[in-house]
Amino acid sequence: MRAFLALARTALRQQMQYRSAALAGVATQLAFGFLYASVYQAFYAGGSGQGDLTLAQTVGYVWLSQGTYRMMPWSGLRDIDAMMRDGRIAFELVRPRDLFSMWYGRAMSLRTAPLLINLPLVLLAALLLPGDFRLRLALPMLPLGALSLLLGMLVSAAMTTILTGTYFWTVSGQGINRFLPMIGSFLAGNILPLGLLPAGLREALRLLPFASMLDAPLRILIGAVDVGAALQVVGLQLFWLVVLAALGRAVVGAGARKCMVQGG
Amino acid sequence: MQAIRTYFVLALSDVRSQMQYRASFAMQTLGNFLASCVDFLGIAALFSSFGALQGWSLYEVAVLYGIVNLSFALAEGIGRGFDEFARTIREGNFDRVLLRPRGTLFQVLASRMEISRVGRLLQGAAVLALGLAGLPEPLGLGQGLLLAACVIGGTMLFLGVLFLQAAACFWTLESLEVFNILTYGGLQAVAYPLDIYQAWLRNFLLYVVPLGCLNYLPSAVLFGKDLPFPAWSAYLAPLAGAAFLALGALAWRAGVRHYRSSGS
Repeated sequence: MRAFLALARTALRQQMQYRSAALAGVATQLAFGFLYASVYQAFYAGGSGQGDLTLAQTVGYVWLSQGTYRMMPWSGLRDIDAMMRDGRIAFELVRPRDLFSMWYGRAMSLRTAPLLINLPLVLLAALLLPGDFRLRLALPMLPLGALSLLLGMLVSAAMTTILTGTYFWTVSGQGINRFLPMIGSFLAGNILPLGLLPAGLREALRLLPFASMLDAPLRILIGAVDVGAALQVVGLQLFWLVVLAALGRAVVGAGARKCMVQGG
Repeated sequence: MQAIRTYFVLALSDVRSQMQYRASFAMQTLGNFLASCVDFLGIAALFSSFGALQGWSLYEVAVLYGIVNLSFALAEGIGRGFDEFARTIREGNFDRVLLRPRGTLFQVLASRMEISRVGRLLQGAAVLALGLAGLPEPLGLGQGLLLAACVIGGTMLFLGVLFLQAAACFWTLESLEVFNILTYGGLQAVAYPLDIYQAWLRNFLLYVVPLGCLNYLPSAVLFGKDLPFPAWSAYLAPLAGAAFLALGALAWRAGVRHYRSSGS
């Protein structure tokens, strides 16, 4: 556990070096949030559609998904794919720590550290906006929402570790690693709120692990579910966390066993 | 004539070097294609849920989307050298450009041609075709020419943005990420009819970065929407792209005059 925390802290400090990039990210996320909010307002002006979200909830969802943009598993751990190619992976394998836990710790900080700057700034701006653009959080649901967000990060980190594990086979870091994040971001509700999709589709997608990363905490935070339903959602997140962590351990373990490092 | 031949000799040699990694090229193109498909899938899902957007149907919005995405893919493919220009400056490679007996703009343009953008190109063309298939009557010759002019004008406009972005590097020495708001944000914004935005944003997209002139104005005329402009203005609108490109070229010249070598 101590080693885990130390690794997480190092990765966190690394992230904090890129402050100006982070601010550019915040500006981009605010601009996109504003655009999406305008588009949804226009759609809602013509009727409320087949979704299960109100306009205010949809706008809230937009701001929260912009603030947590970098939490999504956009890729596996950086550098590991290069290590697979040039053999430096050997150093990773001989460390006296469990490989999966080590990578999982790094994945967790990769997914959470950018949020330390982005999330508060985006949310602060969104809470101050006028009228229909303002972010409205469901205050009584905040504790449960925060817990769900933490679980979302843990699920996302597990997904990141699985992607990293597949580098043992793909070596180039391409293939599945290019497509899964893109399709996953749609399935998670990052492209548009799952709540705006037709009923059958949205209920099905919400059962998948992708929704447990983003859609689940966001729905709770904007107050689209009551306490009972929120507890079910959190339960589903816990289930996926256990499943994906086990899968990640299996993938990384199998990869490490078959991995053969040439000399040099 | 000679210049055009030289351009193709240089650009095609870059294409050949990318084709050496055939599998990588295929993956990147497929990734580019899928990413833009997921993007449009989101729009289609919104329409399936809400029906229409302030009087615009999915087909009509597909035309808006198709024109700009086709333009953007072309500009990104042709102007890749400007996208990576910050590195050219930092590494002192621009000195070599200055020594050769050709224009600087020409050389940077000819240095790269990114063919993986064929992915977005195909997707944009497919979406445009889908939109046109939904038109009540087939396009006349004049309208077809207008569409072609829009795609060319749009390509020029996006190239102009790339010129500006690269020209800024002469002062900042690093790539400014805020330009992504202009390119990707602009792309996102004009995928929907401009009527849905607040007046300042609509005016910005018509008169400052006139992306709206290249898809919204002509499409509105094509589909017989109400506009505060006379119909003939749609036929002049694609010229806005050429004007913006000229502006970008002027900025580039100012930048070159300001250039001081890093000396490395």
